[in-house]
Amino acid sequence: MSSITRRRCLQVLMTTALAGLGAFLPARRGFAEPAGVPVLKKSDRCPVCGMFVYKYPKWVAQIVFKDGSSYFYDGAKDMFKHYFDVAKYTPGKAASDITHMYVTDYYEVELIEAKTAYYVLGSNILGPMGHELLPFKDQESAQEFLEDHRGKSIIRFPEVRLPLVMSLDRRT
Amino acid sequence: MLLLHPGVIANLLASLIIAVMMLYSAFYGVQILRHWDIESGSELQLVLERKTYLVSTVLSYVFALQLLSLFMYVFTADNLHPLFVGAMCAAGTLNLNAFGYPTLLLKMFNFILAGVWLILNHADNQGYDYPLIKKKYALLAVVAPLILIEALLEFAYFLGLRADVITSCCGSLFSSEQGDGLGSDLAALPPGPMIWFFYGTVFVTLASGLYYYLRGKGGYFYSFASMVFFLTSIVSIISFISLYIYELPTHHCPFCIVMSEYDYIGYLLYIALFIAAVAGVGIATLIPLRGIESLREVIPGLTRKLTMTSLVLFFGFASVVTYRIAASNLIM
Repeated sequence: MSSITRRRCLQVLMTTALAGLGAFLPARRGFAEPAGVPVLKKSDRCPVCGMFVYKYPKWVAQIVFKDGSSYFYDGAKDMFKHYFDVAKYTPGKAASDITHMYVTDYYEVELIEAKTAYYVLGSNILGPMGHELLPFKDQESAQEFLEDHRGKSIIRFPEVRLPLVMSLDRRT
Repeated sequence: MLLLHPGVIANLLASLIIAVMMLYSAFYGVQILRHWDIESGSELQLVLERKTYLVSTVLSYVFALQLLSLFMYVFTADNLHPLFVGAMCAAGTLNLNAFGYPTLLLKMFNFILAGVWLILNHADNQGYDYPLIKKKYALLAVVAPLILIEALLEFAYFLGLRADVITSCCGSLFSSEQGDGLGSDLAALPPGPMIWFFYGTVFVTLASGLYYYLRGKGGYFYSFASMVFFLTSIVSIISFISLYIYELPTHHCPFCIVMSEYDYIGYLLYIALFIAAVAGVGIATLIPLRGIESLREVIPGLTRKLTMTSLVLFFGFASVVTYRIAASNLIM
């Protein structure tokens, strides 16, 4: 009798565990949008600020180097800080070693190419680290967001410069 | 809204209990300081003799709570960080208003004073004729106002938390470049020389402690060395130990190490460090009292115990740090 209950118990446990895993896997897959790119792990920290990135899935940004190593950020702002001074945060690497850069589209919540994204500045939406560059995959959604959230301007990747990124760190 | 957070409630409640009990004890403490006369059989003296048992029992619990409250405060600040934009650990939360860091510093200072008071009280209870009664209430007269100020600061901090303020994250508070403030200055200390200085301090402290333990000489020096060890270690955590724990070349924060993601290693390090510092200061507090007749037998045993405690904790601290540096993937 007792062995039956034990087996039942184990079965229930296993089912729960499998269901838990099942629920977990598709959630993880969300970050693996571009094929062959390293996936965000729970232990990944932003090399710029040290934050655990998994806590802020809506804000993930990513840089992939040609040696296959990859870094995650809790917002496009910190990704740019790394991009503008690669050697400081990852000694031994250079900007020319970067193969891919991704940011998370604010509306779609999926990784998009950083170099083709549209960034909205000056809106009333704050990221985990305060003022942010909010990434969008196309001009329309960026424009819509700008109007809805009192954004000031929309810029493209080449217009992002270090002084601009640093100016986002103001506290008000 | 934040007032309903369990951590905030616990902190404010603890602070309130400590403050009220402190006022009650200080009231009798002052009477004892002014009117205590062991030779007298007056009514007042009899009342005071009875009261001192109550007051010192109350105080030993209150000070134990005071010791705990330091870690409770850091734990709560760490716990609150997801609620505030820009905060990623206790460093950002404490920076939300002007009272966060002053409360923390005063709590650290009061931790040591409360610890020393507990040691004095323990020694006093061993003697039959209340040998340290005036000394321990004199110390209380110093500690009580500080603890009351701490309670005020803590209330001002928690009640003044506003959710619409963007705070700075520890990445910028403890950055070696943005050189404004003590945190950045400490982070900017060159890790290379700091490592040598740290291990030099470890060696001198452990050697002098062992010498004192075995030969009974050099107690003041060891006590002083343990204070130096305490301060050096805190500076070292910011300067280089943190880098090895986080495995990030630019992250100097002394608060992120208390998070669960780092296996709460920060609590281990800080608890060892603070208790060892209290024991170290306690030695220099007790040595001048060894001449007192009723404590002649007690003090040497107590100082030996304190020496052993602090030595074990200092050694443990240095071992854990060395292990983390050796096992770290960060290469500098």
